[in-house]
Amino acid sequence: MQLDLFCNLWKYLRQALELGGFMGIRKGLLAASICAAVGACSPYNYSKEISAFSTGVDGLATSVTAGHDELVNDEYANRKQDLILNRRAVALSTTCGDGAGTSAKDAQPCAVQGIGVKSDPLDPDPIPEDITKELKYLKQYAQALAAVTKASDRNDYQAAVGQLSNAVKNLVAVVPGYGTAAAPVVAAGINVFGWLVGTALDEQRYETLKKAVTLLETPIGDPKEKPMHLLAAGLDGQLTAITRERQIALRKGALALRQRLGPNLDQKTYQERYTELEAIVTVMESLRKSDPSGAAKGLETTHKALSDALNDPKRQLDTLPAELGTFVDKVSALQAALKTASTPVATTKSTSSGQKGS
Amino acid sequence: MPATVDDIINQRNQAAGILDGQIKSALAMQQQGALGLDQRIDDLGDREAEIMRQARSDILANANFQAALALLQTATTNMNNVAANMTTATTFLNNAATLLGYGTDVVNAIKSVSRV
Repeated sequence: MQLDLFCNLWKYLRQALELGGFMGIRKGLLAASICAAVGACSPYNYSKEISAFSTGVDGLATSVTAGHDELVNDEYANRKQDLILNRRAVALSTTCGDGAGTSAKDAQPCAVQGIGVKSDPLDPDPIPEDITKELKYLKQYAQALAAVTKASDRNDYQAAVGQLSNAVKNLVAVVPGYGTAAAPVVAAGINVFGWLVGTALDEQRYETLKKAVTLLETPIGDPKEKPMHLLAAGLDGQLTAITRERQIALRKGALALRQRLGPNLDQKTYQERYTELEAIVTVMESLRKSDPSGAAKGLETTHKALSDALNDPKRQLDTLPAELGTFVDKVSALQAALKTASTPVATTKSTSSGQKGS
Repeated sequence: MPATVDDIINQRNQAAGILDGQIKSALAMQQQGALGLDQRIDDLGDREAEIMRQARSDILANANFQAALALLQTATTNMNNVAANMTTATTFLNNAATLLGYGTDVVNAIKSVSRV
């Protein structure tokens, strides 16, 4: 009787958690304390938390590509500003002679160049292939965890486990220092078969999440560092690099513009340049306030908190809601800062591959 | 205790912080009317970007970390020593090239534990 009461209360809290948006996740600490008292209930499925984790991972991926695109835009804006301020003679880059489909992926974009002007490459830092793969498989992993939490019957569940198994295998294979040799060991651990309904499905779901998440928190083979730690360190490097590079490119543009501001200008030109300078500095300020390293570390600490919660015999969520909140907030702020263009959209065009219109 | 990827990242951050500190000093000098610093500010920024680009997922968890860490520590100590002398516009301009050189040492040390 008392157990029924607890289970009903737990279900009620879970519903409130579902309806409560992100604040609901923070309130999950309260629900978790109840969960500890009702060990006989179906295990919590972590759907809301894993969905938030997936949102954070997507945000990290978007930050990398958007930051890269805007870095190319910044470089383009600097080059254009140099041509205009110095009224230079111009020519087209040699890559403007490439036919469609013939250009190497890493070639510099087709663009206008100053004649005889030595300038930085338009795309100074293409996104490395390994980072692209890491982000792709991280997203797959987060989506696969979510699929496991949402599976409603045996078929769904088996498909989701297969998806998760592949995602973990792919992800471990791209961890620096790991490689494909370590991957099959991971995949073998989470294949589960059997007839599953109701509480049995919930139990299996819980065990699957626990195994997959724990595998990425456990050093495998020779590298003694956890796969998720190395993934987060790599992303930290990438996000910090792209943020700093944008700051540096923007500062170059701002310093060049600053030099051309003075009493010899007519009022209108001064005002135009000043407005442009202020726009650049505004973006610099939002980048200065962002925390790329914190966002990347948030991936690791949130994943660790998820692992801790799944491995806690009392099934307490513990620090997970707070870590998730910080992670999503930091990623969101970083994403917004890196996506902010420094120049009017009409003057720039770019894609994630760095192609630039002129 | 063996060096880890975190040790390398911490050293990277220290090196970048030294360059940042000098850029901030130069901007403060400009506020006082100092001229001719823009190019060196850009150069220090470029070297910082180079360090950042180098220290990404290319970093491997391998036995070279210990040696790389020693190189990084030497380079950042040298950077700190040079930076301590860059207190005026003149000394900033006179010492910037040396600071950039030690920045290159940082880049090379990180390269030694990189995949590429």
